[in-house]
Formats: sequence, structure tokens, C-alpha cells
Amino acid sequence: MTHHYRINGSMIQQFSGKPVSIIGTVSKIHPSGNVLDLETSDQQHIVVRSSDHIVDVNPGNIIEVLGEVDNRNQIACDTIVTFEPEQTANFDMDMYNQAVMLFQHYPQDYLVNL
Amino acid sequence: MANQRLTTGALLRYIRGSTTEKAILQVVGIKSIESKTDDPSNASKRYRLMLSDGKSTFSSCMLGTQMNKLIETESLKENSIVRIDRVMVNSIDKQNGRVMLMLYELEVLQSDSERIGDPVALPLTDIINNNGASTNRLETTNNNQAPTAAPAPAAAPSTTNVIRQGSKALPTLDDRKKPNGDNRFAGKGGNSIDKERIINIDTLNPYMNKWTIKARVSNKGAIRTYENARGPGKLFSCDLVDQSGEIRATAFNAECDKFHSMLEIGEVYYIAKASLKAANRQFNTTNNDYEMTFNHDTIIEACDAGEGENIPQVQFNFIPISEIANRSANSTCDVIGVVKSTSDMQTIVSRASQKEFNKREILLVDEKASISVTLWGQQAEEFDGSSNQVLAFKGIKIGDFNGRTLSCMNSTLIRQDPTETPRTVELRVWFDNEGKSIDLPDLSKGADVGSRQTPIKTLSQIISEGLGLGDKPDYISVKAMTTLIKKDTAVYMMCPEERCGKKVVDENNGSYRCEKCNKTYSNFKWAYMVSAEISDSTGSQWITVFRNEAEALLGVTADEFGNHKLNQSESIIEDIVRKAMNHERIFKLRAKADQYNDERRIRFTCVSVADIDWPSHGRRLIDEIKQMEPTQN
Repeated sequence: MTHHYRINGSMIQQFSGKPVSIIGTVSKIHPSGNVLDLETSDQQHIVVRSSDHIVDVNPGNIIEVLGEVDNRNQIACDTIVTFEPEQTANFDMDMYNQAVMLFQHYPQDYLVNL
Repeated sequence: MANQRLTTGALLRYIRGSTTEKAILQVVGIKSIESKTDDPSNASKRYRLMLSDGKSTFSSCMLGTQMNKLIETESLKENSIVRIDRVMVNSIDKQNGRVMLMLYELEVLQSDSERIGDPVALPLTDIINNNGASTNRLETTNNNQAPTAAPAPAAAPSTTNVIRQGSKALPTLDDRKKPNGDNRFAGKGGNSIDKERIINIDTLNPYMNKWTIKARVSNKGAIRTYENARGPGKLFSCDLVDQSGEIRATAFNAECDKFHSMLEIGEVYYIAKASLKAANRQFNTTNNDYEMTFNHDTIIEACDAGEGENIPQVQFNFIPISEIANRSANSTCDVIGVVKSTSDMQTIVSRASQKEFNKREILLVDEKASISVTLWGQQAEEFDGSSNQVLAFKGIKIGDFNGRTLSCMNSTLIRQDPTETPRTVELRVWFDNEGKSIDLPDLSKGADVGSRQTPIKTLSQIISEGLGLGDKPDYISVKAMTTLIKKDTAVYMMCPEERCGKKVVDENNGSYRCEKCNKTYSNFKWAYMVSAEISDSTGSQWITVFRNEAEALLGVTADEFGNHKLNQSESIIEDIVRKAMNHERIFKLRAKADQYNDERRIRFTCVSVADIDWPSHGRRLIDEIKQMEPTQN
């Protein structure tokens, strides 16, 4: 599996065309069932388009989206990772955001593709 | 409109060497320089002018003596507009910004005039070489408010117009000049507040000349005495706030006496002619890059009743209690919450000073978290938290005992049910409805289980720091996973006698002998003594895990494990062991050296095993990373 760069909302433009992973809270699912609004770890709102119908996801859930940034700064997503409530109960979104920024800040120390 | 008559920017251009320009400037100050020679004739008098180009002023402009008569006949006076026909720059000490403009020829265009514009003194940084090579030294100069070299006596060379280079006899730019408000050029009416020039606190900086602020004293400290190399002194500090921001002001000695009794907390004053310098972040945590010092020229006037209504009482920058977990110890913050409970008064004796201190702890809560706050001295004695009031703290110190705590300092401002912020009402409503009955995550309860007062270390640090080799046992916490468990010796048959704990000998006839008790029993108890190897990314270590901790590690009681062993249920045992391994936890270990025959070995005993609290672990890592970064704040 290719490495997906962990990013937040403000980094989307920098990663245009690259495979990314974004963790965020679902704010809305469009009536079409293929598109959702995600609030990212830095409180920005992005649009995620899924190739398949989105299931098992509700507003307020924390999910991880794996996909690519398209030329409209939206995510073309091929995988949505959902979590059990117990797993996300203690999740500190702000700290995750700080971690994401640290990864960018110190790319030489954040090892991927070992 | 009148500004266009003056050549703006000309002063800086002259200083930088473009002296062919014939700029039109305004005289904003004239000072005669005493001559050291005995020559009584006026021809030796030297005049120093402060010139303005409408935007900036420069005070080191020496008038060529052949033009002295212009001043004596009052053709050239304050506010006169002149055209500079010939000028030269004299760089006494360009590195420190000590330059002078020598005015060799000028013509008075207009003797009488109004002051044009509101020029401010040229910052020294602009005067110094553009590469800014000396900027750091300059900052220090300004901050200390003292010229780095001895102020030169203001003597003028006797009869010639040529200024001797490098002579100490020349007046310098910083000659006894406070960065703000040069007295020698005080205009008329310099003793009263100019209410036209009121500016916002957040625009104050050391390079401004004339300003007035209208501010409320939000906090005033007591007078404190100190001793330094220059002898004893006293000071007090106060915080000033207006609608744009806040700033700390300090008064020393004479000014301390003068203003301490005059300034009242909560009242609004006009203040002018104080010095400004960069804030000393060690003592000053107000939200301003600068701090103020009241000096000999400072004017403070009380505001008439009603005039100060638009000035807020105090500036709070609240952070949620949960955010305190992310702040480092010994920093300060502003916080607001409800007093959920109050402890009794406690008296502690300081180990260092043998002094007694009174303190009281409050549990402060907001919608997401709670934290312990310590009050001291009189505040502690007088505090009554029975009404569960909303308390706001400004500039309270963060401590890291058992997680995070807050402690009041001398300078901390406490407000009860403050009206300036909507948070008071929000918290009140929340508390009365739900807050009082729920339990919130407490930052003061050592969020990392098992790491309370035990430092978290890596396994390699055990060797590198020689842990366990001292006389006393060392206690550390590690984040590690079990990589090996000696399952065959995990349990042993233990003497059933309470508190004995010794291994019994199985006499294979239904009896079990305990040598320690010197008795034979018909039964025994299974007990854990698990040898396990734990590993982290830096190394591995064998430890021994007993009793409850082993039970926590393996997930079954010693009895159950023993029974499986008796029943030779190998697969069940393997299952148990497998589940316990390769699973990260926080192990609190006790390291102590044992003398066993001739060998000295370090024994590691597991004192506790706990699951990792990922959010607080992550926060700790972020803190550690931040500490490793070069300081930016």
C-alpha cells in the first residue's frame, strides 16, 4: 500500500495530486450518499468524494479518509476508516493536529516506508 | 497639508550621506551648548537644533556658529521653517548611531509658524547601517536606558566649525536621553497632560516621543524593597489596561513613593512621559512586548468621573482548563472556572527558608476539566468558597505536580464573578445545571498512571544512568512491552500462612513444608513470581512481577494459572502468555542492587503495570519535542 501523507486542512493545497490521509469529524453527509463534509483536525472544512456509497458513517463520527487531493482541493477518497466509539472516546484531535504539523516540520524524523 | 512644505524623509537621507539635497525642515527645538573655554564672546556659543521633516525628528543638528546671530535676533526660533543649503554628516560612532548633522548654511524661510505634523524621533535602528549589524547592541542600549558609554560632557570646540572626529567632547545622541521624551526639548506646557495625544496602549513603543494614554489600573502590587549593587531600593508594579490592550508599569524609589499611594486599583488615569523598554519576560507576563517605567518626568492625572467609562476593568486572555495540560510548568496563564470545592487551611514549612506558609487548595472546574488551584497567605485565610462562585485568575502560575496545578503568585489578579466576560454567566448556568454533579477529568491527579513523581525513562537509560546502583532504590517508569515470559516458573507454591510468602517444599504426600515457619501444612497457595523481559525501542530488561501486578499483566489470578499448570493445560497457558506479550504498557519499576554471594546484581521489580493513556502520553511527547527545539518564544 502506498504511503499516505497525514495532513490537515491547511495542507491540502500543498499535497495536490498526492495520496493523503486525513482524520477528522464528519459534519455532514450529502443526500447523494457519496459526498461528505469533514471537519479536519485544524478546524477546516473539506469535501470528500467517495467512489462508493458511504456506509456506517454518521455526522459526529471521527473517521480517517485515505485518498488523493484533486484539483479542486477536495479529496477523492478510496477508503474510509471508521472506528469504534471506545476507540475515539479519548481521541485528542488537537494533539493529533500538533502531531501532523510536527511530521511536516521534521520530515527527516518521521519515518515511512521502512 | 502643511506637511508638504517640509521635505519628509530628508533627515534620514542626510544621515545616510545624501547631503546634496536642499531640504526644507522645521526647527522644533533649540538648545545652546555651554562652551568649556573661557571665551566670553558670543561667537563661541554653539546651538544645537532639533529638526523635523514633518514625519521624523532628529536632535543632533549643530548650527554653524556663523549663523548664531539668526537665533540671537530671533529670526530663527522654535517652529521656524528653514531650508538647508549646506550640510555635512559627522559620524562620531556610526555603529552606535551617534551621528550629527552639521548645518553650515541655511536660510530661514519663515520665522513664525505652527508645528507641522506630529513627528516622532528617528529610531536609532534606522540611523545605524542598513545591514543591521549593530541592532542587538542597540536593543540593549535602549532597554537599559543608559548610554553604553559615559555620557559626554556637552562641550563645544572653541572657535572652529570643524568638529573633531571621535572627540569625547561632543554631545552624543544618547546623552542622558531617555528613549522617550527628551526633556531638553519639552515644548511649552510640558507639565500637563496633553489630552489631544491620547493613543492606544498597544501602539506604545520606546521610539515615541510624545504620547498620553488613558488607562485603568487593573492590578497594583505592594511596595517591595530590594538590594542591588547600587544599594537598597524599592519598587511597585501595576498593570494598566485600556480598550486596546494592557501593559505593566513599574516605579522605583522616588516615583514609587510618589505614585503608589496615588494610584488606586480600578481607577482610570491619564499617563504621559514614562519610559518604555522591552518587557522582561521573566517577571512580566502581560500581553505586551514592552513595559513602562515611571520616571522623574512622568505625569499622572486622575480621570474625571465619567470620562473613564469606556476603559475596561481588566484584560483577560482565558484558556480552557484542559489546555493547561499542554502548557509548560512555570509559565502563567489566565483562567476562569467555578469553585467546586475548597480544602481547609493548611500550614506548611518551607524546607529552604524554614518559614511557615498558609495555603488552601481549591478545585476549579470548567465545562471540560478540573484543576487544583493553590491560594497563599492572606488570600488563603480569607477565602470562602461555599458559594461556588466563579473565579477568574490573571497571571496565575502553572505547576506540574501530579499532572498540572495552578498556584497564585504575588502578581496574580483574582476576580470573583467578573462582569467583563460572558464566561461568568456561561459557567454559572452550566455549573448550576450540570457541572456541580459531574466528575471531570482532573489535571491534578497525575494523568499518567504510574508516572506520578516517577520519571519516565527509556530502558537504555537504566544502564547509561546507572540506575539501581545507589544506596537507595531508584523508581522509574517505562513505556515498554513484554517480549518474553518464563511461563514454567510463573507461579510457585507458597506457604498458606498469611504474610509468610516463602516457597513450600512439596513432600509429595499431601504435605507441604515451610522452612521459614518451621511447620508442615496440608495446603498451599499459588503465588506469582513472573520473570518477564520487557523491551522498548532502546533496549530490553528482565524484571520480576509479583502478585497483583502479575495478575494485571497476565489477566488471570495466580490460582487459576496454578490450576492450569497442575492440569497441564499447555495451550491455555500459552494463550494467556501470548495475550500478555507484545502489548505496550507503562511499567513502574523499582531498581535496586542486591548482593548475592559475591555478585552484585541489580534487581528490577515491577511496582505497577498500567495501560497507556495515549492522549497524555502524546502531550508529554509534544512537550519534550518542544523543549528540544531552539527556543522561539
